[in-house]
Amino acid sequence: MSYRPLVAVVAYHLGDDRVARWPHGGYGVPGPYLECLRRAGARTAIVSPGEDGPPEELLEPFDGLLLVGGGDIDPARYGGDARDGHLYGVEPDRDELEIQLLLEADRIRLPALCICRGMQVMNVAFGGTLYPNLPDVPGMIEHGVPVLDTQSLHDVEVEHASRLFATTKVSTLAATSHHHQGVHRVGDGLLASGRTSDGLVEAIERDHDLDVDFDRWMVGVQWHPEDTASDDPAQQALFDGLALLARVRGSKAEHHGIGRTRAYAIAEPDPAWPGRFEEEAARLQVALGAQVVRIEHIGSTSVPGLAAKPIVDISVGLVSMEPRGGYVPALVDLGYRTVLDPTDPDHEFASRDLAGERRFNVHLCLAGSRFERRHLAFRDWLRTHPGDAAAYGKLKRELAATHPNDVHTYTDGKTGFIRAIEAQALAAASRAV
Amino acid sequence: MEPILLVRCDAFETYGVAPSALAAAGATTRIWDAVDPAAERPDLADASGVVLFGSTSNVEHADERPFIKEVADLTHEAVERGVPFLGLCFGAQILAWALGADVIKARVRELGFEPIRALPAAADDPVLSHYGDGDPVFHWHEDTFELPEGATLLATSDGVPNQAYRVGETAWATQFHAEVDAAEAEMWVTEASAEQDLEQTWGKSPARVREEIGLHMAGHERRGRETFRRFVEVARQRS
Repeated sequence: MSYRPLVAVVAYHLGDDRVARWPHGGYGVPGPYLECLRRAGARTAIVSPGEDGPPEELLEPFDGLLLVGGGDIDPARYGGDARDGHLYGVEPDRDELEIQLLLEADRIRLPALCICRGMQVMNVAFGGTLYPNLPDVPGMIEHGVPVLDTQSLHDVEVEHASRLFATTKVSTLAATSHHHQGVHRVGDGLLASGRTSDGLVEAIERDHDLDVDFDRWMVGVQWHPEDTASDDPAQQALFDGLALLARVRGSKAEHHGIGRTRAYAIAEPDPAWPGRFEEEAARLQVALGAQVVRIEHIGSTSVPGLAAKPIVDISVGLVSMEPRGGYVPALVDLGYRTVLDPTDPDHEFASRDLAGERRFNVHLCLAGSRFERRHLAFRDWLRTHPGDAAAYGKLKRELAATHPNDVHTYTDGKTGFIRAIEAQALAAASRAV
Repeated sequence: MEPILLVRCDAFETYGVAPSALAAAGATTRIWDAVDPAAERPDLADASGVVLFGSTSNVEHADERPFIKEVADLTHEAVERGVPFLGLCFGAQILAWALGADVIKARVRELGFEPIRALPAAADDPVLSHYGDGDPVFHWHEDTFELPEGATLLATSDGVPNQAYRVGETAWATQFHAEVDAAEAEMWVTEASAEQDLEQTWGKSPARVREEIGLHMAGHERRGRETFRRFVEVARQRS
């Protein structure tokens, strides 16, 4: 069984008499947030305001962080007006804890999802500001008013080149919202990745270069994905994306040898690999039909003479990555397990096992995208540069010999070589065809 | 915004830069594989724009290949309804033909990169004004067309005068392959040269075409992406 990641969720204060049959207050988190994380395969643990200790110590056990809804942030933190009559539910110690945890999560590359108030905390943590009361801002659509228990259902237009699109693979999200404040100035180093029709920023994320920081993911959404996640796969995908990256991170963490990573084996080059690719490519073409632009054999099994894990890697260039319904059900019918890629807007992953052994890895990608081009360029380079192919084979054997039970270290160990070759191959491809 | 409808008119169509350029511009897409008799023609009410791609078929084959009349019908309807339309190569011929103009053999067959000349009318065109005078663009065609009524010619060339035009405020077409990218051009050259002597039929050897691709394709892809970005802007404004 694969490792189940542990996600920290920061709690609310509960006032006196809010803990049943107990005169004192306490701390709590609304159930739907936790249910969404559990559906995504994560374990959850609550961290409460008042917890003492440096943020690096508080986050040490965790693989991911979730900030949830709540009252307003202390306006003093962003130069707002503390006397504003619309302010409610200010929890200064929670503000402090959440900001410290977020900045630490950013430093240690811990994946984080920030919802509603959490998204506003994220914006303020990175130096952004908030509108004190949206109903007072001219031209705004209805965003719901928490103190009146009203909510609104509106669309959010998603920026394609964003983690938000990568995670949901939807360019217009249906979102339920109830908030009376909103992002005014976007914080430093943040990307506005979603907006409503009135122009209000409804989603932000840490703006990382996909090619360099492909494993980083800090996403904030102003709406409440937990409200509709059980019916809307795009909303559940936000929790799935967090849990997936938390799992990968946790699997790589220092551990005591139990269940966090897995063994693998390198096989001698097999002349049967290209034939297996051809057969599988034909099945994929029939199943995916006119969505397919091209199907290519990639990875080590596509380079004659190269030792490899005996898994055939296939690149399937699609006309569009959305909707997922255009390709996921067809792949499931073929016996594939699909996995979202919450960091790349132009990529999703699927794999197929036969008799308990992994046989095919399928990379669904947008035709003409950087993802597709760099994988094809890498293959073509190794096919035409035997010296580099031999060096790559040697690196793989060394990694397999030193880390036979840890596929993550094996994979990470190859990344530097692959990126260097890809850069060279892409540069060569843009000079001449 | 409803999806942009991509109309596929040939088995060797891979849409060039269109998929990634349309996605980057925030558009969703839908395919109509017009050459597949089982594929049902979509309703234009569900599309915010139509892109009609190239084909190894020509209008002269309309009687034996029924898809040609179907795509011409769709094109006519798109123009009537004001659904933004972009025709590429065969798509440019179909737009003219659907609007009653003649499609005829061109004086010369064009293959590979040849420069176009942008006309003054193109200067403020919302979709094609970024093509500069003398820009090399990728061609592969033997037919050309008369300009349909109400068309504005935007670009011309020495070999084949009708290179790019607009009809009304919502339809555009280029005789050249504004969409093609390096991978697709390479595939076409490989496929075609396996069946025919390109030098003899088209006046350029595969090596010559590949050399031109190496020289000019990067800029052509950039301009192609910009074409689709602008087309999405028009579609967004009208939806």
